[in-house]
Order: sequence, then C-alpha cells, then structure tokens
Amino acid sequence: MVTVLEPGGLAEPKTAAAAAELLRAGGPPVVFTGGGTKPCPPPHSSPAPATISTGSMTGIVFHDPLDGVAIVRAGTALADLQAELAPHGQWLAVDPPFVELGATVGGIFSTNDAGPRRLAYGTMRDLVIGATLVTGDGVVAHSGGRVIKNVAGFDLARLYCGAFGTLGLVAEIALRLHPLRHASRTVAVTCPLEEVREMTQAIRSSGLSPTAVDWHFDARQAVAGGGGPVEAGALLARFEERSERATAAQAGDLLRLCELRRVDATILEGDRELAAWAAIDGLLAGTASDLVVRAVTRPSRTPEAAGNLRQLAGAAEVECGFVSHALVGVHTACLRGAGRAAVLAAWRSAVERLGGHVTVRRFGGEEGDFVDRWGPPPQAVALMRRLKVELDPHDRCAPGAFVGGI
Amino acid sequence: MLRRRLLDAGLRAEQLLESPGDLDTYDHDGFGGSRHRPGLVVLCENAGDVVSSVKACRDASVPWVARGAGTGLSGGATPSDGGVVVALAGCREVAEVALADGLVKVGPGVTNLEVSALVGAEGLFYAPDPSSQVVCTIGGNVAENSGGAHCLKYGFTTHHVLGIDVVTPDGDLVTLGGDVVDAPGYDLRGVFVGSEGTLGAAVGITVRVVAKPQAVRTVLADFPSVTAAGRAVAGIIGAQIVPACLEMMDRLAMEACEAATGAGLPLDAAAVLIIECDGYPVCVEEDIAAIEAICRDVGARSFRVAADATERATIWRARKAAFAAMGRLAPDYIVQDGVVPRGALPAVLARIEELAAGAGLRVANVFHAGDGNLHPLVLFDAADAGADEAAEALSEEIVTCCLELGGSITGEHGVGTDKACLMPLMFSEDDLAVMDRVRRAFDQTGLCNPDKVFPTPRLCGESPGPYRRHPIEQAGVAERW
Repeated sequence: MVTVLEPGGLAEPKTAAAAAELLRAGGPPVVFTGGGTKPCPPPHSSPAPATISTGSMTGIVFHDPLDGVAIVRAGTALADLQAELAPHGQWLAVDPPFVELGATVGGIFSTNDAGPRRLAYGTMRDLVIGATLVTGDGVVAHSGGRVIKNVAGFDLARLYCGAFGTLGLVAEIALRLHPLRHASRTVAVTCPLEEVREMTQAIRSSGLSPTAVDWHFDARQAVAGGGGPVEAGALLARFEERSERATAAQAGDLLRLCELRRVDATILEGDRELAAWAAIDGLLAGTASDLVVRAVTRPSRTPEAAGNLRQLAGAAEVECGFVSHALVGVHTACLRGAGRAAVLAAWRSAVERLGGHVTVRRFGGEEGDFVDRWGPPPQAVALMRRLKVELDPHDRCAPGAFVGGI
Repeated sequence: MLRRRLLDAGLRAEQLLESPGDLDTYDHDGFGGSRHRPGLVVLCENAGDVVSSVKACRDASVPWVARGAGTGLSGGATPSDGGVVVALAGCREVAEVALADGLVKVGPGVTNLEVSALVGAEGLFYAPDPSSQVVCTIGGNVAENSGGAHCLKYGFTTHHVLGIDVVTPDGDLVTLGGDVVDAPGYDLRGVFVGSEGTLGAAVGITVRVVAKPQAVRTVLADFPSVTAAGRAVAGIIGAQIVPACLEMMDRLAMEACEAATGAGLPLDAAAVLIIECDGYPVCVEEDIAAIEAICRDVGARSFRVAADATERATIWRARKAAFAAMGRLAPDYIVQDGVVPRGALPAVLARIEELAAGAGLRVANVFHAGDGNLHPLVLFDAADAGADEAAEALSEEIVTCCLELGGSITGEHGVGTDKACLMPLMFSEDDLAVMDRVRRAFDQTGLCNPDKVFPTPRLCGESPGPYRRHPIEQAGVAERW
C-alpha cells in the first residue's frame, strides 16, 4: 500500500526508493530535515507541509580507506562519520557549527554549511564526488561516482548542495576524504579592525599554509568578558600538518613575522587552542536568541564589511559577535537586541555596495516572519526558476523557501 | 541568411568563415574520431559577438557549438553538419587582475598558461594544468572541467572557477556564481563547469589564483615492474600523503618520450613514477623522505630527486610530451581516459597487460596515477586490415574494466561524442533523464551542442549498451555509483 503524507505529518523513509515513493504519491508540500540543528520558518503553504526526515537513513555505506573515499547516507551525523573515519587516519574535511548537536552530512550538504577550515579544503561542494538524489517528483537519480576524478555526466550533486531541500532530497553522498593532521598550533594575534587588512595580506603572502585564518570580535554581554582583547578584535591562524615539527615551524615563522611588525601574538596549543576555536564555532552557530547572518565579500573587503557592521550595531545598540574567514571573505554575525532586523537590512545594503551579499542563517526568537532571508534575487534567478520547474515540477519541496521566492 | 543577420548585428565580414577550406579546419577537434563540416564559423571577439551569433542560430533553428582552441579529446567541440561554430579563441580580454583577492577575470580565449603568466611575477599561479596548457583555453577548460598533473593536491577546474558569464542558448547574458564565494541560489556555476558546452557559451571567467609554494621537490623513481610502481602509488596514498602530483610512465611510454626529448629516462626500468611535493619546506622534506621509504620498500631501484629547476623542467618536458611522442612508436594510437580507485591500480595495470597481449596490440601507459586516472595509449597501424577496430575494441575493454573496478569512463577528457554511447554503462535511464532535465532548463532550443554527452539513437543506434550493475551493488553492499 502506498503511503500518502498528511499535512503536518512526518515520515522517515529508510531508502531513497522509499522517499521517492512518498514524493510520487502526492500530498501536501514537504520539507526535509536531518539533525534539526538549523531550524527555519516553515513555508506558508496551504495545506501545511509534511516533513520527510532522514533519521532512518544513517550509516556509512562504503568506505575505501586506501582510496580515501566514503559513501554516506544523508542522515548520518557528521560526528559519527568522523568517529568512524578517525581510526583510518581520515576525516571529512568540513568543520561547520552544530556538529556536537548532531548536524548530519545531508543537512550540512543541503545548506552548504562550512567552518574555518574551508580556507584549506573548501566546502561540501568541493568534497562531494557523487550523490544519490530524489527529485521533487520522486525519481531517484545518481550523478558522479566513487572515484575522486570523474567528469562523466552533469555534476548534479553540486546543484543539490546548498539548495536547501528545494530540488528534492539527497539520500546518499559520496565524499572525498582527507588525511587527519594530528599536529596543530594556532597563532593568536591581537589585531584591532584597523590592522586586519595588513595582517591578512601579510599571511597571504607569507608562503605559509594555514588551514584557517579567522578574525573575530565579540561584544555580546553574556558571552564576552567586556573590554578584553576579543572585544577589540583578534586573529587566529591555525597550522595543521603531519608532524609536530612542520606545524611548530610554521607557527614559529608567523610569530616572528608578528614580532617584526611589533604585533602582539602568542602560540596556542592543547586545551587553550581548542578553547579558542570553540569560541569561533560558537560565533558561527550563535545562540537560540541570536539572529545569525552571513555575509560574503571579496576577502580584501573584510575590513569594510566588519567596520560597517560594528558601526551599525553600535549605533542601534545591538549586541554583536562577529567572525570572518578573512582569507575567504565569509563573515558571520550574531545579533542581539530590538533593532537587529534594521541592522541586518542596513548591513545588507552596505555589503551589497561592496559587491557582496548577506543571507540569514539562523532565526532568533519570533522574527522569522519579518526578516528577509535571502535578500534581492541573483541575476540568474530566471534560470534557477526553470531548474526548479524541471527538478520539482509540482513545486512540492519547500515552496517559497529559497532565493527569489523559489 | 545567418551571414546577413550577423553583418547587420555589426560583425565584420572577415569574422565569418564560409569557404570549404576554412570550414574543413573546424570539422573536428583533438579527438578526430568524428568529423562534420560546419556551415559557418563565427570568429567572435567579445561577448556581444557571441550573443549575436547565438540569437541568430536560435532564430534560424541552426545548431551551434562553442569552440576554444579545439584541443579537446572527446569530440565535444565537433560541430553538427552545416551547423555554426561559435569560435571563442579571439575573446581574449583580461577584464581584471585582483591580486589582493587572488582572482583573475578573463575572456574564454585566454590560454591556461597565460592566466598563470598574468600573476606569475606576483608569486601566484593558476593551479589546474592540463598537458595542453600552452594552447588550451580557459573557456575550454571550463567546458571540460579540465584536470592536469597537479590536480591531485590542488583540485580540478571546478574548484578554481568562481564565476562564469554565460551566453545561454536563448542568447541571454547571465552570470553564474560571481566574484565572491557562495553566491546565493543554486550552484549553476557548478553544473555548468564540465557540461561540455551543452548549456551555453562561457564568455567571461573568474578564476582563483593561488600562491606559488615556497619549496618544490621533483623525484624520478624507477621500478622493476609496473605492478611495483602501482603498489608504490597505493602505498603513498594509503599513508595519507598528498603529493602535488604523482605520475606514472611505463617502459613503452618512456621509450617514446626519451626519443622525443632525450630527458635521460631510465629505459631499462619497467616503470617510473614522477613524484612532486610542494609547499612549506619542512613538510616537503618530510613527505619526500616518507615517500622514498615506501618506494624502496616495494622495490624501487632508484629514487632521484631533481637537483635544480633545470632538471625538474627536463623531467616534466618528457612527461608532457608523451602523447605527441607516441607517433614514434606507431602510426596511430587511441588515448583512453578511464579512472579506477587508487587501491585498484596494480590490478588494472595487470589486466591491461593481459588484454593487450590477448588482442596482440601494444599499450603504452602514461597517466595521473595519484588520481587513479589512466591514459592507456593503444598503439596500432591503420594500414593493417582490421587494426583500428581491434584497437577500438581493446580501448573499450579497458574502460569497461575500469568501471568494473568501481571507476569512471572519463577522468578529464570528457564524454563528448566519443563516449556518449558508453554513458548507459555508468548511468541508468533515470539518471540520464534527470541530467537531461537540467539541460532543458538551460536549453529549450535543443540547438546548443546537440548529440554530445547523452546517448541518442542517432549516435548509438536504437539500443545503446545496457547498464550493468556494479559488483558492489549486486552484492547489496551499496547503491550504484
């Protein structure tokens, strides 16, 4: 017997074929959920949407340690995957927020979420080598394969990566893995906003290969000490290599470079290093009461993007935490306080003038209905609409939840 | 009619080629296996010329194909009979060099190596390096998602393209991606890269350029057997080392390269590995030491680190001359482009030897071992009766073997016309139908590089080869890949 989803109902199919059957059977609009760590307002559809969860699609289907490739079901928690891979000296090289809360590989893929090490490894889009997908009208399709180099056919996986479930469901993902680097050191540099440009350019042209370079400040009351160095701004540069020697040598090089510039810097390792990066992770995630927004600019525009935000938040008395993957140009801000929707709007305009854009990553409190999640539609929105019509012809998958009302 | 329309749109007469001699030049690309004479070649100089050409084709219902340097190896730039070639090699604008952001925006006709040259003095380079990089264009690289020796560490074209200005089959100029990462919306840029010219024409491309490494070490290691060299590759990858590149040549390939370049390759070895590590000096030294231990362990006879830049360049000259040098071994050859999981390299190399012996043909191997991307060159003499069919059959058997081992029919040369009929071996009807939906979203005209990538009755006969289930899938271990 074919199950038809009810409005507001929940289904946990075990396979791609079962999910496809649910989608083919018709019924209300659907939204997809994994670990539920990145909730967003449901689409205003009538009837109310049903939810398809990947909760029963978990586990590693295939792992070839020798080739550094794994195939993973979408509902697998990233933390579980990493724990399985670690004994083989490998990991999936993404470090997004919410991992300890149960963020799944499928959810991270669908939101194209990432963390500080995207500087070295890119995002899920760069790591996915194949996928099993289910279109909105319930056709199971594969693209790519399970080898790291492959140009046969269209790269459908990249389309579904970051589509926020609006083209259908990702059921399985084939991934290129990277070697774990156990040796790690972080150079923490005191770096007020005025010095960000010079410092990041110095690192860029140093010939060193950090895995992450993040500049941040935190002026949220419950989180930051107030008046400390982090409130003014600090830069973290992380080095991770196969050996302690190579890692320590690079950190030492950067420390000397800072000394030459008479900049205050120190090398963190062990628990102090972990704590510093945990604070960055906290800024990427925000708290349940934060409005978390993400801006993207060219890397050289980082100081302007940060300066604009600090000024706007200060004027509106909105508490603000901020972290920038400074060499990539991706900036995340956590906003607290009554005027934050206005700060978002003003910052969005400022960032657009810098050639970038701002999207909302987390809705704090009840204002999900009032903030513009995606900003103005991109120039290619007509093409995106056509793609949506082809891959979700009945407009069932999270209708209206994406850019340009897609 | 097309000619009149294009002249009215402002193109000059000398941009339009219609003489039979000129048209013959454009009837094939680097593949050569399929030739079709176009009706018109438009030598575009800018995006406006491309828009005019595509709109004219759309209105006249004439199929068209974008073409860069024509070095592609799968027939992707082959025109339709009487169709239009939208030639982009003359679109050579350098729109922007932004050093502080590590990005460069160029027209599609700028060559791969020219992009690196734009930023070389500032210590930067463009990482993907197909062997044809002196002549092949960035536009072509985008269409094919080109690889190259250094992609093992640095990634492929798709990892380095931020944005693409595209003329769609409707003639609209649209930007996919942009000059920053994570453009909102679907990753149209990601699906366009590697779509082999079937979704439109790239007329402006923004790429990332990265810092040249502080240190580079290149090694030539020689082995008593091909299998030993394969084991060394599997050992290096298995030890979690990521060299900048890891290339293999067998004796036959070396003979040809040595004759062509006199690079001093060890002709008495069964196979050599060219291994390059780059990056921070301490890391490079450590990696080279670890790799040497692995190579010695599997029986490497020698492990020679290039003493200087000249010696390194000599080694690379030999490697990159490989395809061109094959003419010294046989009048004709077929290049294959299969991929296998890297752990399967020893097995596939042994199998290729068996298959070649069975077919009575010689196969030279020169390839990107670190990626598991094989380029077996099947040598033959077309003057011998039946030789080309036998070579063709052997080449296809090799790629089928790659698939059986869990690999792919193409790692970097593309599907084009050459392998369209093999696609059903790797993808189901549903897979291909969903890919075709994506194509329709971009191209409702059906005129943009038709008969490429997808198997059609016209190309493959009424029943293209059946899809065969992968052994893992059959065993119920995994769904298909």
